[in-house]
Amino acid sequence: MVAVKKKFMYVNRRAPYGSIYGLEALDVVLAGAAFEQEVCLAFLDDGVYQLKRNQNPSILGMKHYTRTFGALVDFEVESIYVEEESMNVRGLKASDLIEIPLEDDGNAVRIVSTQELTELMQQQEVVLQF
Amino acid sequence: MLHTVNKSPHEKSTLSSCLRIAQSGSDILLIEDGVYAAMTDTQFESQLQDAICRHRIFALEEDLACRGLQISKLIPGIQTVDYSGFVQLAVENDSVHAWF
Repeated sequence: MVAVKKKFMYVNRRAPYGSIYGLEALDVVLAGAAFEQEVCLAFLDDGVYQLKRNQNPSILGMKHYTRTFGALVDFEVESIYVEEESMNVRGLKASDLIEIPLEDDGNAVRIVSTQELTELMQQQEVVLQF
Repeated sequence: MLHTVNKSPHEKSTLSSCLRIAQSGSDILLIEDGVYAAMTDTQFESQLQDAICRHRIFALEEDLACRGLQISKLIPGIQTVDYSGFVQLAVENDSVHAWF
């Protein structure tokens, strides 16, 4: 079988912990990453809260699944887009978000404008929303 | 009456409905994703500031900590309670209305 490589974007619009969407999305991303597709993630609306620093879900006996975002670069998922407008209306600044270091010292977490996100989304062949 | 709100104000109208309908003087406790409403610099801050004049508003400490939200960034006037405080509020009030 000839391997087909497509551009995938996983869109996260839910806060972590209040529902299962964030955790499930990450599981799907990691499973999909094994198929060597071109994968990126987008965080908008309440999804931006998934990238908030200093989470401590163990206090509620829940899994700290957002720590696993740090492993995405090992699966060659190196583009994690966060919509700036969603951050602004929630009072979040760049320094409030986790960093995901790339091998070349960059940060996989990139804050983008609504217009940039529109363009990035338009370039995708498969868009899956959680 | 104690009102609990467990949804993010950005995603659902749960908090707005609660604030519109809850009687002055009743207590409001933000839990789970409801705690996002307690933070400064959001688009809901002024709505919460108005509500503080009419209600005691609380946010659950454990849910703040879980989500990485700092108590120092709470809207002034919003108090925090832990789980024992939640129980205390439930006992102090005749009834609990869970908004979701």
